[in-house]
Amino acid sequence: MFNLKKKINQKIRNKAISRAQTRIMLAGKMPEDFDELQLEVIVKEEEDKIVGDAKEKGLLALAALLGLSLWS
Amino acid sequence: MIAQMLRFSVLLAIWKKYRRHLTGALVLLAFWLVVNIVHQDFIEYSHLSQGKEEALGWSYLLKWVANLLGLAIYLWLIREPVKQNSVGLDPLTSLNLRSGRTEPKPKSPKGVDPAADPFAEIRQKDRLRSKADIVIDDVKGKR
Repeated sequence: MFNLKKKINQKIRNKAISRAQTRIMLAGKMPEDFDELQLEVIVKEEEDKIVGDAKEKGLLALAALLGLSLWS
Repeated sequence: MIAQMLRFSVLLAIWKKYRRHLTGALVLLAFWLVVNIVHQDFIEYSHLSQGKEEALGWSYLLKWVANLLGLAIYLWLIREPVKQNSVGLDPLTSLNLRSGRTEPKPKSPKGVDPAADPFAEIRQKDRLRSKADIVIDDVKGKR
């Protein structure tokens, strides 16, 4: 159980890092241009976004499973 | 629409994860069915023909042996595959791997040298700090 939580957290971290890399590239910079603290802040922001999105989608999925329609 | 998509994706995920188990279970059920049909036929045959009653007891034994053998083969086929990377490790490491006591190492993306990865440290951290956390930590440090 604990291992699964760790695995999920690591997946989220990896996803956040790849999103952060994309964001940095789109800004015309390289990850090496930033120091570790700055990178940490960027990755943290992306991680929060991923977790927020997952929670939102989870609620929708739960509503769908329960047969609740949010659009009618 | 969304409920259908969700249902479909859940089914797809279950199928992808447990494909081996499900197909194996279906084959096992078919095998048991065939064994049962053959055994029923033999029972009918032994009732119709004279002098075959002594083989009836053996047929039950054979049926159960076949059923259990099928189950054993199924369990053997669906067992977790032994990890290839544990081969060649020293006994202590492989023992730790088997007991699941080793910490899972964070994976760096394929083709990226961990030494050159600017995110290597970030991958290892348990919890990342936001900008606010860093400012608070700085203020705390100055006091």
